[in-house]
Amino acid sequence: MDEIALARAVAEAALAVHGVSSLGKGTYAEAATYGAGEKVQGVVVTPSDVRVHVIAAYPDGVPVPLLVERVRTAVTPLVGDRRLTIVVEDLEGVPEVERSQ
Amino acid sequence: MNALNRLLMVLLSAALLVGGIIVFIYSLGLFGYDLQSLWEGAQLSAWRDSIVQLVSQLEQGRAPAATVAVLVLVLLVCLVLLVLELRPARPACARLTEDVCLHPRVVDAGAEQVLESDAAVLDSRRGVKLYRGGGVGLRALALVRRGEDLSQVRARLDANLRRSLVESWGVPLRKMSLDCREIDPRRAKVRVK
Repeated sequence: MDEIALARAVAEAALAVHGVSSLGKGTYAEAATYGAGEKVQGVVVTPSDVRVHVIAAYPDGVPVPLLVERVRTAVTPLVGDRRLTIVVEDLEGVPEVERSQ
Repeated sequence: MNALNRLLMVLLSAALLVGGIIVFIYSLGLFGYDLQSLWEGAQLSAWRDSIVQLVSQLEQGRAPAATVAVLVLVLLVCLVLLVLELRPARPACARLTEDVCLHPRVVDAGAEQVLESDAAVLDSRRGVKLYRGGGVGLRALALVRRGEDLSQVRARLDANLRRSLVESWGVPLRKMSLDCREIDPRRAKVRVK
């Protein structure tokens, strides 16, 4: 799997985890993987590493350690030999209406 | 140091841009200027002569005390900047385990949740610092409603913060300072709990 396809798969897997509100953009530098005419934000894939930037749902999402464990479980099968790093970049408030649904 | 480096680079770039435009105009002889007038206008010969004079005075050990003091001051400032430059950068996030990193905002939000879930706390201020050698520093101020026993509230919040951030989340808390102060409810985030 090439880097952009892997980034796409990792992003989809991470976003599917309950408690992940969205993927982060990075703090000092943009956290993204670039492909031809496309960019996957929130996942950085290099030949040796995969870094996922997640934004956790807040306030009644999943506790951070559990969220990290879920993201790890969802993403690890995809990354293969690459080293996985999970960055919890922020907490995002989920609106009342969305929470009640 | 990042901010200082950027400032220096902006100033240097601006000076180079202005200098480049001036040299361009003078070297092409535009608007009646020529390189000879630049040399005379900027009094470069006078600058060169004064530098030569200063160096020869220093070589002969008869430079004025004020000049030596200024040079020593410049040397000290440069040494301080060099030391600051060579220090390792602060980490961007708090490493919980080898593969998990928490942004300071998350630690801050976690502390906010713990502090403000206490019935006596109406508002809070927090500051999170990441240490170069690893670990997190948390400084928190809990603004408590009137009539509460501040020492009791403080002990309770301290225990809650440690239990939640350190034991539950695994945040490597190296230093924590927690202060409690009474607040007029009209000035707090929430007035009643």
